[in-house]
Order: sequence, then C-alpha cells, then structure tokens
Amino acid sequence: MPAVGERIKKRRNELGWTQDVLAKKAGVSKGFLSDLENGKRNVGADTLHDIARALTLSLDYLMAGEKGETGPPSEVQIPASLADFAARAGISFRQALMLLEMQNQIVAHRSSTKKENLDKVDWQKFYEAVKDFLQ
Amino acid sequence: MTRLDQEPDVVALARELGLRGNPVEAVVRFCEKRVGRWADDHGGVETVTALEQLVADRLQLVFEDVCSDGDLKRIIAKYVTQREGVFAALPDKLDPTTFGLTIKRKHFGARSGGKYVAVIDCRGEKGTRRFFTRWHEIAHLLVLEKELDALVRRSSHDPIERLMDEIAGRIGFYEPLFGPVFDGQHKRGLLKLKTIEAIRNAYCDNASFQATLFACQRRMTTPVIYVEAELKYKADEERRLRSKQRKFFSDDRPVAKLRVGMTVPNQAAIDQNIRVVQNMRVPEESIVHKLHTNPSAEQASGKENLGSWEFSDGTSLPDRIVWVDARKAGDRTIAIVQPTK
Repeated sequence: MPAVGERIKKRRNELGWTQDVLAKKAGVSKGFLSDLENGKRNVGADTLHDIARALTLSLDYLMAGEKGETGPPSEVQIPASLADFAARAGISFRQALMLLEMQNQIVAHRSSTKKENLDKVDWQKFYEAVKDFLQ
Repeated sequence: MTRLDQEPDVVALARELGLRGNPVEAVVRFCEKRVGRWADDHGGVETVTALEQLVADRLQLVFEDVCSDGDLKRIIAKYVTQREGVFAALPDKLDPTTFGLTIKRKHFGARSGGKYVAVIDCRGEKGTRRFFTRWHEIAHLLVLEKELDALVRRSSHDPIERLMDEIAGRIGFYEPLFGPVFDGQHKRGLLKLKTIEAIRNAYCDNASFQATLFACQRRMTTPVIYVEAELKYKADEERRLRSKQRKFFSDDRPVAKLRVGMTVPNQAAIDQNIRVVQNMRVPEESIVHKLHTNPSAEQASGKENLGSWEFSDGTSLPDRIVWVDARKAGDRTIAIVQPTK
C-alpha cells in the first residue's frame, strides 16, 4: 500500500517527527512503521486509525488521499437557531462563533430523551451559563 | 442483519472506518481489536478497572464522576480555571435525562490532564448506570474522530448511540476477563438471576445488574429472552390518552395492565424464533404477573407455557414450555425466559 505509506511519511515530515516519535504516539513498532512507509506492509483499519489520530489526519485522507486534516472546516455553518438568538440578544458574530465552538466541544452525550441537534440547543441558557468566558 | 445494521448512519460509520461485512459486528470487532491490541502491548490486564484505565489513557480521556452537587461545583471550578468555559454549562447540560457527556478540551497539556473529559452523572438513580455510561463514552472515542466532529446531542433512540451501547456492552465485558468469570460461575444448563448476581460480584461490582445480565445473555448459546414488565396501556389507549381532543368518561377510561415494556432476545433465541413481543399483556397465570402483584415476594421462578401469553387480537405465542426466573426491580418486574428441553 505505497500511497498510504507515502502520505504517512509526508505528514510525518511536515510535523518534523522521526519514525520513533510517530511510532510511540501511534502505539506501533518503529520497524512496522518503516515497512508501512516504504510500502512493504499492509495495515489494518484499527492501526491506521491510530496513526491517523496521531498525525491529526482523517482516515479517509490516509486511505484514499481525499479531504484534508481533521481540523476545523474553513467555512463555519452557524445553525439558524443560534443566528436567531444572536440577533435577538445582540451578541457579536465573534461571540456567536465562540458559543458554537464551545457547544461543539461536547462531543458525546448519553441521554434517554429524544434526539436533539444543534438547532434545538437552548442557546439562551447556554449563553447565560458561559457568557463570562466569551472574551 | 439486524435493523441497526441497516441504519444509514451505522452503515456510513462502518464505511468511514474502511470496514466490510455486517456493519454492527464489524464496528464492534474494530473496537475490540483496538482494545485487545492495547491490552497486549501493555502485557495484559487483570481487571476491568485496569482495562478501563488503560483504554482511557490511550484515548487521552479523563473521567470525572459527579456523585453530588458539591462534586459538580468542584469539577466546574477545576476546569473553568483552566480556561474551559464550556464546563460552566454543566448544571444545565446534566439534566435529569442525561447520564454523561464527553467534552473535548481546548487547552490541555501534559500537566493539565487529558484531551477529553467524560463527566459521568452518578447522582441518585443514575449511579447504577455509571459503569455502562463510562464504557459508552469510551465507545464514542474508539471510533473515528470524524464521527465525533459530526456529533450532536443524541439520545438512546439514535442508531449511533445504540451502536455505542453495543460496543460498550462488548468492551466493558471484555471477553478475556469476563469469559473466565462467566465460565467459573455458570457451568451449564439454564442461566439464573442469582448466577448473574454472582458473576457481577466477581467481575465488577460497579457494573449494573442489567448490563451484566445482557453480557451473560449474549454469551449463552441457548435461547435466553430478557423481559421487563410494567403497568402500561395498549398503544391505541396511549394515543387516546395523549390526545387533547378526546375526553374520557369515568367508565371508559383505559386501565393500565401489566405489559412487556422491554424485551431483548439473544442470538440463539432469534435463530430459533423464540420471542416475546413488546407491549403484549403478561397473563395473570404467568409467574411474572403473580410476582408483580404479590407485595410480599421479591423473586419467583418456575415453568410455564408461553402459549398463554396472548395478543390483543386473541392470538397467542406458540405453545412452548419455558423456565422463568423473575425478580422485582422498582416499579417493574424483570425476568429471563428460557425454553426447557
């Protein structure tokens, strides 16, 4: 799987990491990583996921060369409910973005109630709770 | 294939992970494999608590248990002083229906702890779900970051959340640790509730009885059906009661009866088409019904014929002699139902 190996090597070099560093971060042996980068070994999805996570790349990118890093998208979509709230409350665009960013920090939520998406978030309550930190 | 296997979100997640075959099983195996590899690299683990710690370390995850309002205040203070303002919203976010949530920190480093903080609400009755909720939060982190990035607040009805429960049930009862405990307590024959209690005590007394029951049920190669009975209305009665237009006279107001609130068959029961149907009435002659209506008894067991369990239209389940082991659990009665030979 030379293309995968090339992408791993390219990203590792971009980060200025040695094979040792990446091997430790991804929990694989240096020998395995070296073989992988040189296209001499195949890799399972779980191991590739660990490597992708260490390199902050998406699995899609590592596997197929599609899409980029797992970092924030260049265009932020503000939910309509947040935009409405921001207009009513007179908060700035920057503060609305910060509010959205904070909400998105909650990455998993185990609840027994019905599904709720970003448009159902009670932005007023959330704003009241965190407004001291929107600086 | 189960219904969960056909849910678009579950299929998409399996595809994103580069997995083929039955999506649920493939994603669960993917997670088991990751955890297994970490355990092997570590030289093995001896307890489920050690396994949880190992997995949390690998995922850069820190747990914070909220056992009291004081705990919540302490946790909020701890993280907001580290510039994590989102923690200030915890009193609102941890509403009565929320068991736990995981927060990705903006500011973290070697000194300040993990990249993720899972806040587990253990106050009141939620405490019984602590073990499973922790593994549920771990399950989220075991699958793609991409899945996490797209994650919004979900409920136990959501397919991805059901998949996370599936993963939590399998990883939390990690086979190399759970298998020997199960085999040590259950030699052969029918599974009994007291055996499940003994397995729970031996494996991890923090695990809930229900979570342990499901793990034992999954391991059984003979049919085992879990049944939870409670006072409920028929579906159309429920609809009428909810209707704002309909008013009831005192003599036509529906009466709640003991019905199946939840039922979970294991794979062997599915394969042999042995089932109990959700919301069907529990017959008065059933051991489950007798126990539920007997205020002085806490548990009961014995044989009965599933053919006496009838549907509203007068049809019934096929004749089959089953052994029922039941106990009370709050306002419900839970039971395991197994065919006798």
